[in-house]
Amino acid sequence: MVFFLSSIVLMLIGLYAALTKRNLIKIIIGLSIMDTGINLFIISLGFVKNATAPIISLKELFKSNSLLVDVSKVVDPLPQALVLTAIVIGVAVTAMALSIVIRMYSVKKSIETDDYKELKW
Amino acid sequence: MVNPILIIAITLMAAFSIGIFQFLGKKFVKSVFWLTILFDLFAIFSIAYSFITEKIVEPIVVKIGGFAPPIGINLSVDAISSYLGFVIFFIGAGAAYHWMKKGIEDPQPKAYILILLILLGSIGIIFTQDFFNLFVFIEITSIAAYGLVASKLDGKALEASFKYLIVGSISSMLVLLGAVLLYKFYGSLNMADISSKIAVSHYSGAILIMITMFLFGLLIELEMFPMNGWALDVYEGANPAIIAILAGGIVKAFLLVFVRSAIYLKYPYLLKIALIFGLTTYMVSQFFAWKQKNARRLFGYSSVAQLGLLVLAGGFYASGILTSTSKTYMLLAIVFFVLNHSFSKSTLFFLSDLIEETEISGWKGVLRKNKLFKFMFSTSVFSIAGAPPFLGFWAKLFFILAIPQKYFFVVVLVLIGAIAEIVYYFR
Amino acid sequence: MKKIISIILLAILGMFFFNIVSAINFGSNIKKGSVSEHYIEKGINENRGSNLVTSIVVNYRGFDTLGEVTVLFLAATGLSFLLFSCKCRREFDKVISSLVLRTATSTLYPLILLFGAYIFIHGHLTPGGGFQGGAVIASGVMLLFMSFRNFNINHRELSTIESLAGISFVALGLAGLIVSNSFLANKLLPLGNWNALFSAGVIPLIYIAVGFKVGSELSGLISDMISSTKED
Repeated sequence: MVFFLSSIVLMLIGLYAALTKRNLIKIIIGLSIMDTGINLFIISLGFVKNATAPIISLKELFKSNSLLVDVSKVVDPLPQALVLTAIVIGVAVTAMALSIVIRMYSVKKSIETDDYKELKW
Repeated sequence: MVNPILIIAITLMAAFSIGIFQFLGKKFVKSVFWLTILFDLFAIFSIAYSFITEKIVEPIVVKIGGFAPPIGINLSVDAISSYLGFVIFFIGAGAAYHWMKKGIEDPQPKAYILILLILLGSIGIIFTQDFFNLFVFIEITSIAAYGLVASKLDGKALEASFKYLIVGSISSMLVLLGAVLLYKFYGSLNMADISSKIAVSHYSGAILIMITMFLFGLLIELEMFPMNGWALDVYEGANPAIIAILAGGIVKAFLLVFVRSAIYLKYPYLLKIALIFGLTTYMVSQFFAWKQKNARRLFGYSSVAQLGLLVLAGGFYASGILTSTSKTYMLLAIVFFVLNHSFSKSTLFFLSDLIEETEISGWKGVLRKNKLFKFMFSTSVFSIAGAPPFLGFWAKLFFILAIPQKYFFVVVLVLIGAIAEIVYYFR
Repeated sequence: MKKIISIILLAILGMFFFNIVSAINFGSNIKKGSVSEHYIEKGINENRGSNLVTSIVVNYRGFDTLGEVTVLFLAATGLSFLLFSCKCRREFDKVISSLVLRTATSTLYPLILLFGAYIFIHGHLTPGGGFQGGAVIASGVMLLFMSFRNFNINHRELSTIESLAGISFVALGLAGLIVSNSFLANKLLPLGNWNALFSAGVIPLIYIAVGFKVGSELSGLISDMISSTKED
C-alpha cells in the first residue's frame, strides 16, 4: 500500500510542477517526475507476496511433475513488460521537449514562460 | 485485397530506410516517400472497396505473432475503420504535396519520416484492439505531431508545440493509467476480452472512476472545452499543411477510438458526458469565433466547434437510445460530416497558407481579386455552414433527423450555432 | 490564481486515485484466467526463453516493442530535425577534464561496451535485454563526450546502424509473415534447449537488433544535443 501511495504522491508532484512552474526546464523536470511516478505505480501493481523474479532458471519453480511453472511462485511479468515500454516512451518525450526548449532559447534567449506571450498561456 | 499488417510494416520499413537514404540525395528520398504513400493508399482503398462491394462482411482480424487474443495483440479492420484510414492517408498525401509545392526549399528528408510516421500512428490507433497498444500508437502519433508542429521554427510554432507537448503528456498519462488499471481489474488488455468480462461483474465506484479518467484523457486529445487552449495555439502557430493533417485526420482517429472504447467498456454516462462536453465546446467555440479578428484562429475555433458536434453525434450513436433507423441516419451524418469537415477545413487552411494575410480585412481584399481563391473559399465555407446542395447540409439534416424527441433542445442549440457560423463566415 | 486551481484539481485527482487504489489488493496472487497465468505457465514451453519478461516483450507483445522502437526513432529524428543548423551558442567555455577522468574513461569504455553487449545478447536468459543494453552503451558514449574535448561522432555511421537495425527488426517480422502467415511469428528458427544461449528462436536476434538500435540512437541523441550548442 505504501508503494501505491508514494507513487501517487510522485505523480501529483510532477503534475503540479508541470502545470504551475514558469521555468521551462522545471516543467520538463515535472513531466519526468510524473513519468517516474506512473512507472513505479505500474510495477507495484504486479507484486505477488513471497514470490521471486520471473526468470525461470531453477527447477523449484516448476509445478511438481509437470512442465508448467507454478504461478504463485513468480511475480507478474506483464506489468514489468509494460513499464519497459513506458520508460522508453517517457525518455523520448523528454528528449523532444528538450530539443524544443533549446530552439526556443536560441530564438528568444529566455526560458521563462513570462517572455512567451504571443499566444495566451 | 491486402493484409492490413502490410500497411504498417511497409510504412515502417520505408521510414527506417529513409534514415539511410537521406544521405543519398533528396530525389531518392522523395521517390521512396511517394511510393510508400501510393502503396498505402492503394492498400487501404482495396480493403475499403471490398467492404463497400460486400465481398467481405465480417471485419478482418489480424493476429500478430500467431497468438490468439487475449494472449497476443490483434488488429481488426471493419468498414468504418478502412474508410477513416483512407480519408487520413488521402489528407496526409495532399498536405505533404502542398507542403512541398509551397516552400521555396524542400523540407529536409527527416520531415518525410515524421509525416510517414504520424500517418502510421493514426492508422495503428484505428486498427488496434488492445489498450496498451493503443497507448503506444497514441504516443507515436503525438511525438511525430510535436516535431511537425514545431517545424516552422519560429517563436509561435515552438511555443504551440511545447504547450501541445505538456497537454499531450497529461492525456497519455491518463490513457496509460486507464489501460494498466483495466489489466489489474480484469486480467487482460484486449478490448473485446475486457468487454465480455465487464458484462459479468457489476460496476463498482473505483472502476467507474478509472474508466472516466481513461475517457477524459481521450477527450483532452479531442480538443474539448475547457482543455482546448493547446489546440487553438496549434491552429494559429503551426504550418497549415500540418494543421490539415492534425485537424482533418488525426483527431478523427481519436474520435473513433473514443466511441469504440466507450462502447466496449459499457460506460453508462456516455450520453451525459457527450452532451456536456460536446455542446459546451460547440457553443463556446462559436461564440469565440464570432469575436475573432485573426483568420487562422477563427478557423481554429470553427474547427473545434465542429469537433464538439462530432463528439455529440458519436455519443448519441453509441449510447443505444436511438432506434435503428435513427442509428443509420446518425451514422450517415457522422460519415458525411467527417468527410466534409476534413476536406473543407484542409482547403481553408491551404488557402490561408497561400493567401498569407492574418487579419480578416486582409482576406476580403485578396478574395475580391483572385477568382480561383474566391471559388475555393466559397465552396468550403458553404459546405461547412451547411448550405444545400453541399455535403454539410445533408450531414446536418441527417443529424437533426436522428435525434429523438426528448433532446429537442439539442436541435435548437445546434441551429442557433449554425446561424452564428454563417454570420461570421460571411464577414 | 493558477496555483489554487491546480491544487484543487490535484486534490480531486488524488482522491480519485486513492479510491481506486483502495480497491486493489496489494501483493495478491495473480488472478485465475488472466493473461499472465498463461504467460507464466506455458511461456517456457512455447518459446524456451528463461526470462519471462523478455518472452512477453518480444514474442507475445512484440508489436508493442516495434512501436516502442519507432517511438525512439521518432524522438531521435525529431530532435535532429529541430536542431538542424541551430545557431545556439553556448555562453560558457568548455573546461578541460581532469587527468583522472580521461584515464579512467580510456580504461572503462571498452568494458562498458562489452557489458552492454553482454546484456542484450543474453536478454532471453538473464534480466536485461535490448533496451537496457543499448542504454548502457549510450552511457559509455556519454562518458567519452564528457572526458574528451574534441570528441565527435560521425552521424552518417550512426544513422546507418540505426536504420539497418530497424529494418532488420521489421524484416524478421515479415519473414514470420512469409513463413507462417502471421507477422512476428516465432517459427523461423529452432527453439533449442532451455537456458542455453542459442535458444528461443527469433527472440535473441530481435533483441540484438534492438540493442544496436537503441545504443546508436541514444548516442546520436546526445551527440546532437551537444554539437548543436558548440561555439562557432
